[in-house]
Amino acid sequence: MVKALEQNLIHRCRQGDPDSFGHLIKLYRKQLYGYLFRLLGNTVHAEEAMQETLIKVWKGIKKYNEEQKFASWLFTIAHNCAMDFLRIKKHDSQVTEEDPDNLPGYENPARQIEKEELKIMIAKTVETLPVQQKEVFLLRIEGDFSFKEIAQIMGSPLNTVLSHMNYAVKKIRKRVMYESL
Amino acid sequence: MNHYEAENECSCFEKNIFLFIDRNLSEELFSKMEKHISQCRDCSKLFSDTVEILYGSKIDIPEITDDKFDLMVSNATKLSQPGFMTGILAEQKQKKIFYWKLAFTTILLFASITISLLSTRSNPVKKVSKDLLDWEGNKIETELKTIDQSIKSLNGEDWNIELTKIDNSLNNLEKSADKYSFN
Repeated sequence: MVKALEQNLIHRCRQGDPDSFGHLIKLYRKQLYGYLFRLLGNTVHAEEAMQETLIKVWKGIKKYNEEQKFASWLFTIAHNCAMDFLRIKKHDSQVTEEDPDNLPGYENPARQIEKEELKIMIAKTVETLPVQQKEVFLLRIEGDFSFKEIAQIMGSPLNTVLSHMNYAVKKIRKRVMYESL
Repeated sequence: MNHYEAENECSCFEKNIFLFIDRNLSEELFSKMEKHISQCRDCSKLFSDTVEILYGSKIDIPEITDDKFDLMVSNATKLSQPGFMTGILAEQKQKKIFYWKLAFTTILLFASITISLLSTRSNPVKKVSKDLLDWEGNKIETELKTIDQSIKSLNGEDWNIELTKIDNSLNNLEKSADKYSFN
């Protein structure tokens, strides 16, 4: 049902219907923004990257191969935009990052239940992961993609993706175990 | 199962844990791993921890407002037409690029021909060839002069002296031969 709706919207987008484009992106809006926000670490960059992604998706919708999953294609573009932002961010020391403790979901951990504390701990550890490990992790968590799809989105071999994930989870586990001691 | 086999199975599980979670393994390997976690406490713990991290780490993030989202969509669709670089527009652009390339090459060709025709500078390749020919010509001329001098010396008195010498030698030979004659 969703697939048919998605295909219909893609078809209309190709004919130049901007409303259909809005409806199409709305299907992935939360996932897409969540992924960009957690990867880039602040709302400003996440919004800019999302805007850039939307422009590229609209421009390239005719190039989209329908044999490929639309979500994978969309996140491939988002991944490239995010990478561009991270490259700029490296050179731009003036941009202040939001303190993870001030982000929603990080608020007052003392009053959160154990599960919430774990979430916060994981989220904080994720912030410290190297970019590629962070990306694999977030594509999995926020994008709900399989590792095969993540490999496709990142243009990396499956084994590399699995290795990044392995390192990421190991670090998180280590941190969680250390914190719970 | 010995210690080595158990260790091997654990490392196999650790290696494939994410594919196991995704069920992206062959049926055989999947059942093997399923059986292994039911028997191995460490791998079972690793599995439950990993699942907890994967499914329990989704945090609440600020959502983008509807107004902002609509503005983004509007910006994206206003800035360009879908498939701006594809279809008819792209074809026309490709054609334009081809004609520009063609015109540029033609201009470049005419310019180079004109410059070479108008230029007073000697062609370095031609210059080298000429030098080589001159050198060869001088060499041949010297050789011819030497031959000519030799011929001239043979035509003069020296030639007659040489002939007289040969003549005398022949006479001497004849006389010597007569001495040994049987007649």
